[in-house]
Order: sequence, then C-alpha cells, then structure tokens
Amino acid sequence: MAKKQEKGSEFFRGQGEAGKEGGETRKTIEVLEPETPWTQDLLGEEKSVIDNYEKQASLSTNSKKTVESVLTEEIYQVRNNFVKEYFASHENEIQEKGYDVKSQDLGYMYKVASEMGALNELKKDKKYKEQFERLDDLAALRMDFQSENPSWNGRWQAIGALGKRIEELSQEETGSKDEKKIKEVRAEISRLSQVRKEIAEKMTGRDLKKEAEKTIPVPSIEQVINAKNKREEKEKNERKEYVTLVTDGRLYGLNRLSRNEFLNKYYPEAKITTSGILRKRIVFIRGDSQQICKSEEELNNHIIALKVQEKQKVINEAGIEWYKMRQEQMTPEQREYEKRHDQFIKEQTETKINECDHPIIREFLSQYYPEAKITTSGMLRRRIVLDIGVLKTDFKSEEELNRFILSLREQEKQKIMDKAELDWHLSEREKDVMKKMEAELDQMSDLPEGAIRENYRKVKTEVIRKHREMLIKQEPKNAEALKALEKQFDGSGRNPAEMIEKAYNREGLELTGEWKDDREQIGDFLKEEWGLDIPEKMMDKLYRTMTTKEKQIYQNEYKKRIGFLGWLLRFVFLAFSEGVEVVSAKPETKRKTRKKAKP
Amino acid sequence: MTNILLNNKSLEMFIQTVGIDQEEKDFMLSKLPQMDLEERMKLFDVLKEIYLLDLEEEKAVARAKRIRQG
Repeated sequence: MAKKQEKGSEFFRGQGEAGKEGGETRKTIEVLEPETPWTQDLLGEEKSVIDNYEKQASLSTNSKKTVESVLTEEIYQVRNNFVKEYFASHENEIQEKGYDVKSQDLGYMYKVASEMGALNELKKDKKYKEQFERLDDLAALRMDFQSENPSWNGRWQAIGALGKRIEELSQEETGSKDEKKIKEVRAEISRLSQVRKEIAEKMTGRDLKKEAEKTIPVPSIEQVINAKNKREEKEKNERKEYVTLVTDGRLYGLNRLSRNEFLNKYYPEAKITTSGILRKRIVFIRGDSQQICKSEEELNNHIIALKVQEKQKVINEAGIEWYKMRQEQMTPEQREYEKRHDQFIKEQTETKINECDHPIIREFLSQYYPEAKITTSGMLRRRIVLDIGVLKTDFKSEEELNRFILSLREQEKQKIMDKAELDWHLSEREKDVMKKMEAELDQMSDLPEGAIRENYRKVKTEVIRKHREMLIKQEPKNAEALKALEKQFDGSGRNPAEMIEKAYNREGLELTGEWKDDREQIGDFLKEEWGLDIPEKMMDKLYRTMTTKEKQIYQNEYKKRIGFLGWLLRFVFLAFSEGVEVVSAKPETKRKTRKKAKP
Repeated sequence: MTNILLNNKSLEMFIQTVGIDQEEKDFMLSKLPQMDLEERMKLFDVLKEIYLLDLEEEKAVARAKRIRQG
C-alpha cells in the first residue's frame, strides 16, 4: 500500500500556491523552504569583497520582499521540475519503498524524493548540473536579499532576475485574450518594474525618469494646436484633391444627361402624369411619393434639385472612398493611435461640450463668464454694452449681442477641444517617457556584464591609486640598502595567487574556531602550502598579539572566507616582523590528505 | 632561505597575474626592488585585494548571466 501523503508538514511550509500546477496567478510565498543545501560560496554574514568599497543605499522592505518572492517562485519551479524528473526516472525504487508513485502532489513528491536522497543526487550527478547550479544561484541571491543590505553584485543580479520575469509576463500578456488576466499581468509588470527601478536608481545614483524626461520635450498648447491645424488642413486638401479627381468624370457624365436620360438612369420607376379637371397639374410620381407641380418649370426645378442631390451623393461617396483609402494606407500602429486618440478626445470633451451647448444664451454667459455685466449706453440708452473684464463691447441690438454670445460659446467649445488635444499629447509623452525609462531598465537587466566589469575596474583603480600615491611619496633608498634588499629577497619564487586561493577555499582545513584545535592545522597549512615554518610557541604568541593588540578575533574571522584569509595574512606578516624563519619555496613533503572543508 | 611570499620572483608573478593595466604593473615592478619588508607586505595586501576582486568579478559576471538567462 502506498504511504499516506502527509500534507502541511513542517517540511513543506511555504510550498504554497507555487507548488500547485496550472495556478492562474502566481502568489507570494511567505515562508521559505526550510533547507537550502546549495549555497557554495557564502559563509555566515559575509558579502563580497566589492561591498567593502561600494556603499549602497538601503533598499525598501517592499523591494527586498518582492525580489525574494520572485526568486522563491523560480526556486520552486526548478525544484518541481527536478522532482518530476526524479520521479519519472526512479519509478521502481519509489514503488518498492511503498510510496505513491502516481502522486501528482508536488509537496508529497518533493518529500519522497528528499527521503530517497534526491538532493544528494542533484548535488553530485552531472546530469543535474544545470539545475543544481541554477538552484545555487537563486538560493544564494535570495539569501542575499533576506539580509539587511543586499550586496552590490546581488542587486545587479536582481535587476536581471526582475528583467527576466517582466519579459515572461509580457509574453503572457501578449499571448492572452482574457481581459481580466491581462489586467492582472499588467499590474504585476508595473509592480516589478517599480522595484527594478528602485534598485537600479539606488545602485547607480541616477534618476531614470528625469533622464528620460529630458530627452522628450514637453509639448506646448501652441505647438499642439498648430500641428493639429496643419494636419487637418493637409487632410482637407488631400481629400479635396481626391474628391475632385474621382468625381470630375462622374459629375461631368451626370451634368450631360438630359432630363429624360437622368430620370431613366436614376429614377427608372418615376412617372410624370397630369391631374386636375383641366389636366393642368403635372404630377411626378416616385414610389410612394408624389410631387404636384403647377408648371413645367416647377417640375424642371424639382428634377434639377434631384440632380443636385445625386451630385452630392457622388461627392459624399468619393469622400468615404478617400477615408477608407486613408485607413488602408495607415500602418496598424497608426490606426491604433488614431483610434485611441479619438477615443481619448471623445471621453475628455463629450460631457463638457454638452454642458457648454446646453444652457440658453444668457445662462451660458452667467455660467462661463460670471463677471460679465450687461448695461445700456447712449442718449436713449439704446446701445447694449457687454463688459467681460478686459473685453467691453457695445451692440446695436439684442440679436447682435446674442450672436456675439454664441460666438463666445463656440470659442469656449474650441478651448475644450484644444485642452483635450494638449492633454492627449501630454499623456502620450508620459507614456514615451515611461517607455524610454523601461527600455533603459531592460538594457540594465540585459547587460550586467559591462556594468559589473566597469565597476570592478573602478574599484581596482581606486585600490591601486592609494597605493601608488604612497609609493610615489617614498624616499629613494641608497645603494647599500638596495643591495641588502636584493640579497634579502632573491631566490626562486612561487605565484602567491595560488596560495591565496587555497587559503580562501580553505583547502585541507577543517576549522572549528577554537585556536587550540585549529593551531596545528593552520601550522601545517602554512608550512606545506605557503612555505612558512612557525614554531608552536611562536604561533601562540602571535595569536595573543593578534587578539589583544590587533583586535583581530580568530573566533569571528574564521567563519568568513575573506575574514579568515585576512586574519591569516596578518598573522603571517606579524610572523615576518618577528623574524620567523621561512622554509623552502616548494614543499618537498607531501601533505597528509584531509577531507575537504565544508563551508 | 627566501621569503616565499614576498621575494622578488613571487611578487613579480603575483603582479603579472592580477587584472590591472600593464602600465600599473610596470610601475609596481619598477618599484619592487627598492621595497623593504614592510613595503612588500603593503604591496602584497593590495595585490591580494585585487586578486580577490578578480576572482569575484568572474563569478559575479557568470552568475549575473545565468540569473538573467535562466
């Protein structure tokens, strides 16, 4: 019988929604998985070397939590894929041990896989190398973002991780037709983008929005209206040209038709008869409608009016043709732009224009020009004076005044339209600014190598500069001293880079943090790897000096890679100052093999 | 016996290993013969720091690429 699936055990805390398959929306996982067996290069609270030089502004808790949750989701994705792969390739063993091999519950599957030693396989088996490396990367970065102040490198990596996630979400958005889903995805993209912006700006000290704004000018109302007028004028002319071109022939043909030819072609069903006692009335019958004419002339005029109608139809049709042609010539983006523009203008102006059109003339004046005063002037008080602050006009009659107020109403409506046009261009500019900023952030996400190398170069240059200044200031030594130095530091050498790497990686060392326990190991290491022979008593003396005078506490430093290396170097340099004897350049005795130290 | 960490040959090798401009390396190499024990210890510290930055830089670049690409 298959072993019972245990859900909700402590082991799976935090599996949350990300562990489920096909979830519509990704949710934040609050509790992290209890074990991270994959952090190779970090020890304790230690960050990277560059963090000693790059002081970073602290990130908001929201940003740190967001990055953490993006990483956690991805950790679960990679791990779930691994677990599924593991289940598929260990089917028999899983069944033999009595587990439910058919289970689809990823929490259960992960537990079973762990109990069967899958994590060791993941760590050691070459076929899982990529998955292990990815988990290691993600877990190390997440650990970094759980700390008070994430490292400089971690921040760059987070910008990359957020860029990757934003790209995935953008693809989801493009591929989806579900409006609700699209809205959710957009909100998530915007949220992640904000976080990416915060990290990028704090890292670089830049204000990306301001930079983008500087490159895109703010449109003025004059520019917007001029451009709009020019565009409309151009379109009007194009339309006119087209309509003239295509209607010339059609209208010419229509004009040439005699009355009867015209009626036969356009109104074949029409009949002309007479009525009345003397049959003097001419009746023009067309379908259900009848036109009774008193004379032949009146009938002719009626038919001419019909001809004018037909001509107008030809012109209107050409206008529609031109509009369709213009639409076809547009790119989909231009069509979309025009559609959004028209929609925006409609939304912004419809109600306001109605409100402006609605009141009767005098009400309009009092609503829109509350300061306006109407008085009379002249000997007979016949002239009407309208006073609107800076504008004072007099009118001969009430009608003239009303016409003027109506023109004010038209001006007011134009103002509403112009303001909407300006607002449209401002909102488009804001979008362009955001797009430009996002493009900059995408580039930062995509090209961390250049930025990382550039910063390391900067830091290295700074380290050298200080040292160089010190060297330049030094007094030159006399010939005798130089000769002594030549003798003192002569002989064959060995690249200290290798020696440093060994100490950094603690090759062959299993340190406990207790000096008494570690002294022998460190002594052997220095003798065999660094060619230094320091007697035990001297080591104890140096240790005491380190602790009391140098304030370098072994118990603290041994926990960190860089800390231990720094401590060891200072220890050795103290030994040099004490005149400790050195042994041969290449160790002749083979080192006794110890197990590799665990970080 | 020679000081394997701080003698001329070892420090020359160390200078040539680290990732800095050749001009800087040449400057250090020109000053090296005149350096006494204290000065060599300071030089060693600088080279160690740069070497650790070199190692870290390669790791950081590789990890940033992997994280971005997935």
